[in-house]
Amino acid sequence: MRKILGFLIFMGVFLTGCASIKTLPQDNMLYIKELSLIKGIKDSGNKFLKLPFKTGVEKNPVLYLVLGNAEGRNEVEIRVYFKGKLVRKYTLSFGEEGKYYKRVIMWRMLEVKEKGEYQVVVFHNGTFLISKKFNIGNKVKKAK
Amino acid sequence: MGNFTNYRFFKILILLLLSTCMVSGEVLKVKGGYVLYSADDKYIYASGNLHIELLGNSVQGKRFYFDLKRWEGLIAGDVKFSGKEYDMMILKVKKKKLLWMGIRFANEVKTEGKGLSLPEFKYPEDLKKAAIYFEAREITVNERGRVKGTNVLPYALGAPSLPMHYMILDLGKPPDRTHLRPGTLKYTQEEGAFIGVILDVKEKAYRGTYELRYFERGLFKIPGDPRGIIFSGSGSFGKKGKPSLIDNSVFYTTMGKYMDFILSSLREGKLFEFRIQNRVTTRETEKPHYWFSSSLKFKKFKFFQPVVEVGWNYYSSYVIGISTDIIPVKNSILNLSWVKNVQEDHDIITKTEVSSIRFSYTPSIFNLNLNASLTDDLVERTLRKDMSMNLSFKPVPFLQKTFSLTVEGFFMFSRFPYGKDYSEKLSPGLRFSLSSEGFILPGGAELLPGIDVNQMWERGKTSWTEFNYFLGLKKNIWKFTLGVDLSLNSRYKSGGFWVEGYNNYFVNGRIEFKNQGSYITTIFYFNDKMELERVSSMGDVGLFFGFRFRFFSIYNNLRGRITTVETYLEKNLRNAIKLQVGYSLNLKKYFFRVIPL
Repeated sequence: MRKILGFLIFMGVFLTGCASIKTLPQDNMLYIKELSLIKGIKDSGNKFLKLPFKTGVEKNPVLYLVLGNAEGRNEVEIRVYFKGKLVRKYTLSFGEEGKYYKRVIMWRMLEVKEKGEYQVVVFHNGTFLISKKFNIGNKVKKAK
Repeated sequence: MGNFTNYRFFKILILLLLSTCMVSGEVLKVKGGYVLYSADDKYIYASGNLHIELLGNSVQGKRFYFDLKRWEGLIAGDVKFSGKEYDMMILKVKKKKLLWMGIRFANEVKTEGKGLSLPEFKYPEDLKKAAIYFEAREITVNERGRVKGTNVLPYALGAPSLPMHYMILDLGKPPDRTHLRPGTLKYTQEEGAFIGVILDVKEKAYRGTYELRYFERGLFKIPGDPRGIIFSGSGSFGKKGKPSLIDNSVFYTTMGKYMDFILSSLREGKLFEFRIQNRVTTRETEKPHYWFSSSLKFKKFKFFQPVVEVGWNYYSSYVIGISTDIIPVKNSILNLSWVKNVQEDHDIITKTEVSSIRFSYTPSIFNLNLNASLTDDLVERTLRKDMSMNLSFKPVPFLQKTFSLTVEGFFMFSRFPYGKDYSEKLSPGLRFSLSSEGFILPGGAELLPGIDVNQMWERGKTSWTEFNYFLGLKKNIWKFTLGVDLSLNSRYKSGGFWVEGYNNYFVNGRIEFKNQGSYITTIFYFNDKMELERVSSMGDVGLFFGFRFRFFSIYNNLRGRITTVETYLEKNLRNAIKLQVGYSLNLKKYFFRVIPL
């Protein structure tokens, strides 16, 4: 009797759980996987190569942006603000309708003339996505 | 009868655990397409058309990042708040009030509200690295950080588990009132299973914590008491934030029916400090032991503070003592004390009076410690004398701080009854120690020498000499470290005509691999005939999903067999429980351990 009761309780919980699968959340929106500044170099194919070390950011670093959950045609706008004013704006487009990209990597050399705190703001299809502040131009000590 | 008691105890325990699941007021509600909660990080990420309610304020947006440890975060993408629109809004809860700053990014950055700094935020990819995380449609958080979810899919080690319509994702902080909460949950093959419940008492006149643990060994066929109870805890009477009037602590276990109960009190005045303690200890096989002790300290003078101490056992013994700390000069302390101890145990009476002097002086160059005591046995009418002195100089660096020399002198004297007569020991000694931080040799290898010399005399007749030499050589190649250690030890004892002594040397070779928190070390031990004696190997390697592989083994080359092996997989779950699964050659079995952290 006890075993039958235990089995019925288990099946009740299991079936309720299975029934709620269709109501479970799905993360379909594009999101930021990484937004950082790296040391990079241009290779012969005019692409940036990520160097295998992070020694801090000196002059003209590379903005390294990794996006997840990209679906269809996407437009990413990167705006760079210095002392609260817009100083650079880059637009990057990728993707095709009906295609799904699990991971998208983008980079852009930030041509910086003055050292200080820069705010990088990312928009996706016209909607604000994320913002992060970076100190650029100040040599950072090598991490031990 | 025993089984019935245990069954009833289990029932009460489960009811107590369930009663801890009470709810209190909602502070944060996140409702939208997708909500991710990591209990390890105490962090919420949400995306979709979100409706957030924070301290009664309603906010809408596309993405939400919120740290429940700091109670701060941000909402981004078409943010709507109080009839205004922003690109991003920083949110912070401080003293149960919402602070906010709305930001619009156009040709200039325009802000409204409080001047808040951009919080550090965590990406969903990083949150999904947690051992356990939850995806939900809706999450609510109360003021104690208790997190509840609706339409929840829990993930364990990255794999989805059974979906739940409603689930408590985090219990949050315990409330600031008297309550029950789950306690120890532990299982090891050696000790069996433990389950406990904790009672936190937070009343006006009393605060304390007590734990009731039930242990089960009989089910797992572990020798010893098959099952039983352990009760332990401590608390204090007195108002919150003020010195306690009376402290108490208790420990009881059904194993041997052992109980220890202490009541104590410390009162501090301007002139006096008074301490009183009452202790009761009971054991199944012995009669109860009651011990009362008290001390009174006179604090009028800074350089002279006498203490009177009294101790009394209900059955047989008492202690009376007086002592004082005197500070004659800066960096020094002189302690004078006198103690009378009377004990009666199975018709054997011991009566002693101990008078002692302790002096220490620690200026910047050297440390001087002096101890002298006289023990007068009032029954046997004998007197024991002990004295010791130690003078050590601070290490002297030389050769650009490559070497450092330490010199220490000591002197010991004792005179104690030996049969009808007295025996005396007089032992002066010296110690020199030369150590080095190491040199870098050509080729990048590192050399580490060290010498230690000890010399001791006894009554001018016998002399001991001890030399210890050490030489280490180390070289790093990529992620490997190769090392050789040579150690020589010599000991000589001369007394009259005879000289006793021996010397030996040991060599060991070491290979070590280190990479991002993982390591494997193998050490080869050679004896003084340069024969390989044994090889030991140990390692700790990080694997996927936070699993770690750990091992330790010893191979005895002279016997030609492996003598020790312990190897296991280990996993920390939410920094609360450690799971270990593996094999031990010493136990000669596979083991599974659940260890609380």
